[in-house]
Amino acid sequence: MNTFIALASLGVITMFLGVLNLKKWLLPFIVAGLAVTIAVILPSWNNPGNTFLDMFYIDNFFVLFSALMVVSTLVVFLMAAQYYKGEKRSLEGIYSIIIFSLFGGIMMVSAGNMIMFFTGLEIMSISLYLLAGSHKTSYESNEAAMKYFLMGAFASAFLLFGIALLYGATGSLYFTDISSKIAAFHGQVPSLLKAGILLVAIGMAFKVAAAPFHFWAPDVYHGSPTLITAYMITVIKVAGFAAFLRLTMLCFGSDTSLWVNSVAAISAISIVLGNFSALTQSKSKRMLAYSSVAHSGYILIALVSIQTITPTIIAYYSAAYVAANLAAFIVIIMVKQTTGSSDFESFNGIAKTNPVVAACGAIAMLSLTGIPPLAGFMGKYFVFSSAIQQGYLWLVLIAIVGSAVSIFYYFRPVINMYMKDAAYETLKTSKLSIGILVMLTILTVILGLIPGLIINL
Amino acid sequence: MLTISLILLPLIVSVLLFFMKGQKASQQIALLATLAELAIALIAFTGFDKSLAVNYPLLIDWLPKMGFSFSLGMDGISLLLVMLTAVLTPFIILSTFNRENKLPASFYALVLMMQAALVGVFTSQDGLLFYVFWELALIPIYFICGLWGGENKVQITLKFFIYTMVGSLFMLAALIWLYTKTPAPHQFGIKNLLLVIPTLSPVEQAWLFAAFVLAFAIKMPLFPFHSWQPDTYTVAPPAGSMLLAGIMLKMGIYGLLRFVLPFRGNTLSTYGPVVIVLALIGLIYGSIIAIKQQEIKRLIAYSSFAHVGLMAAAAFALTRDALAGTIFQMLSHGVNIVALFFVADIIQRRTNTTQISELGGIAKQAPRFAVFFMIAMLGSVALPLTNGFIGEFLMLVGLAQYSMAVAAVAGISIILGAVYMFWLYQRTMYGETKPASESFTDLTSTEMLVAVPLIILIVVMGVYPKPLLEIAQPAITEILKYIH
Repeated sequence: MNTFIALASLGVITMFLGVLNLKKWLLPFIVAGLAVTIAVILPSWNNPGNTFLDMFYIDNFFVLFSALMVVSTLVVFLMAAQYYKGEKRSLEGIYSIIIFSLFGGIMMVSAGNMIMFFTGLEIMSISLYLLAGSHKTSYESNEAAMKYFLMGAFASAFLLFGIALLYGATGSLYFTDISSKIAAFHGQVPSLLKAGILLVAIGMAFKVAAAPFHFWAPDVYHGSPTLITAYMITVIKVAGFAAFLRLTMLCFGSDTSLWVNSVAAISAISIVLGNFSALTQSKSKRMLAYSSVAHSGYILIALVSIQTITPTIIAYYSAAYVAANLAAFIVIIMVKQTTGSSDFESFNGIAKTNPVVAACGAIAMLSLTGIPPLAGFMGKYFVFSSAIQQGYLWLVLIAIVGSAVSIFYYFRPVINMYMKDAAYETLKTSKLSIGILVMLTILTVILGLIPGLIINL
Repeated sequence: MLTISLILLPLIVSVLLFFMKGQKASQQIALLATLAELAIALIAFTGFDKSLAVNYPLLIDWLPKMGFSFSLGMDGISLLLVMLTAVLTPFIILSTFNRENKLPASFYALVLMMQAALVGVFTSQDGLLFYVFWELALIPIYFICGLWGGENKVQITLKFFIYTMVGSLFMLAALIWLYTKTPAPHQFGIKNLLLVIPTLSPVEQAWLFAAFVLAFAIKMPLFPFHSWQPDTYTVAPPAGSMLLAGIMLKMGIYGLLRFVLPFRGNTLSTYGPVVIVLALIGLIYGSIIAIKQQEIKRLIAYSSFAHVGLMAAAAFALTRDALAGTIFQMLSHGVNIVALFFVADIIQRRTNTTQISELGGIAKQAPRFAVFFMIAMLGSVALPLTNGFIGEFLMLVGLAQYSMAVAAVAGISIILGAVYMFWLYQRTMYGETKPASESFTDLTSTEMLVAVPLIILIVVMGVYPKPLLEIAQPAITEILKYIH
């Protein structure tokens, strides 16, 4: 509960800081506030908090994923310093909305009741619709907001309808109650329940951009301001998967046969569609959007082959994915601010002008491809390994083909950075953004070498 | 301790080199590091105890919960391949002296990183660690070829990368499959994985066999997975070709010996001959294509393709002689191919061409170079008293014990090998002097530093192979024990 209070007050005070004309202090204050939030979250490790009549679960799962989300948001705010440099309009609105969406995400991850879950999801989503359109003068940003809102509302409707059906079938909105009711059916499940679970799964697949419910993702990720895209593709994705995992473990875990085949199918389609669609992209943000669809597929494999260690595997995978994606987006922001475009051609020759940036960008791409000894490889390894243990070899084989295909598009920026010539002298960088970039790269390497840091938790 | 320092030394120096600039300093540091590495390897070689199954073991917890550990160690085969890596890398670095490179420090950093990864592959005692080093070796060589390569390097190196990566991913799936079949708690040690194989059903074994063979066949490469190889060898910078053909190719054969031969019984006797047939096709096909080549590096590439076919075939003959021959030939082939690529590099630098038709009469201008080329070539065509002879002779003996027909085909290829090599020598070194080779200067003193030790290696290994052959014996016994 302290976490929610901390985040909510942080968001509200941020808004007022703008009104009070203390713009200089905005970012430092937010960073400090998020650091405080992390300090509030961590003591709950192995020390479960009050559940408020099973409305929230403040447990290790909550600590793991919300800490990951808050830290990633903190990095996004550090990136904001360069991204909004020289920006005339006031930013407190955008910043506070980011914090509110983080609030919603964490609420969703900790929920133990369908109403709490849905409220958190909507707080997060509505904030995101605003953020996607926060570049008011940009045509693409407006388009992104509109698309995101329409598709998101659609998905929310699916989800809500699913929840209603679940309530109809089980007479409860509490995860644990629903779970025990499902178990009590002993396989004789009413079709109402089946439809409910399917609708909830589809709604979640929409939110995490898993195929075939991913059509909004490329346009929204491409059109939104780059910083917001970085936020959506990392923090929101993690929130979506943590919530999905929470649902399957607490709520639908008592009878996996009800949903496992559908989720396996969604996973396979995401891997194939995501990877093959990414092949033909010429814009880095669209490429990363499709790559994120593929990664949704990989994470869903872990969800399909669910076992006790799955939460740590997904946390590890998410950390690796977030570190690599944030690093990639820092490079994209630098490139975009220098050349005005985020096409692959704009990456030409960075190795000559800014070797450190190029090396970090290349390591991020290699990690996303899944090359050892980087964190991305270990993440994939854990997923594949748990899937083979649970008998999903066919999913792993599809994932292997997908990974092979992914080399083509992940290597395109690498090739451009290292084997082509630049059209400019040097990138617009700042010490802070290079510092974060290097930190993220080191994290990618260290997590890969010592996976026990997260897996042993 | 010894094993880990063999990996850490080049790795640390490599990281340091990435932050350096300047040709001279980075060259010297890289050379010193590889010489230190060679010294450590020699200590390992002299202190090797044949009675132990694993020498210089090292076990550090990595992730005990998931059953994998940072486990290193050497048996005879590992030691010989580590020696090969340690001996060849200083020459590979020396061969790049006097050559203007862009970003020289990064180049040497990548070569050293490659060396660390190769030693890691040869000494890993843990399946996942093996895979990590296996893939890690791909990154530096990709950048070496992609950044310092010749024409069309981008497409060719990407094809090479994807080709090998696909094979490796199937190997990863096979490794995980074996891992999940180990008794709980699952273990990833190579020993544990190999013990599982006989308990699996024939169908499972067949699929695993296919996955492993695919990965190793692409790496070597075996027919029909070789289409990446001639292009990559040609486009790579000379040091890259030497690393690829001299050492990296051995990863494939090492993998065969380590993971595929322990598929005992039916699987091996059913599917082993398939590999032998593919290897023989490659052997003959590679030799014939080599005869037709007009470009020196492509000719060497196809000759390597043919040689590796013979090694793979001999590995599956599963007799003591054949295995000893395969292991010895891995070493000789490494030395000879590096010498040949060095020859190609010298010709390229002096004449700006490697087209055979534009060369001729070099022997008159450069007698010392002619001698060096001659000995490298004789080693490659397996003349008695050279290192090539020992390996090929043992392999032929082993293949004859397995099947006379196979041995006959392999014998033909040796004749074909003599044809293309002698013809290459004749067309480039003798005959009338062509304009390109008119001002061909003889070997410089730095080049002699590479050429003379290579000549000595070729001859000494051919005259006195006993210590090398003996070191491999216990490891061969171990492999044969799995089979029978």
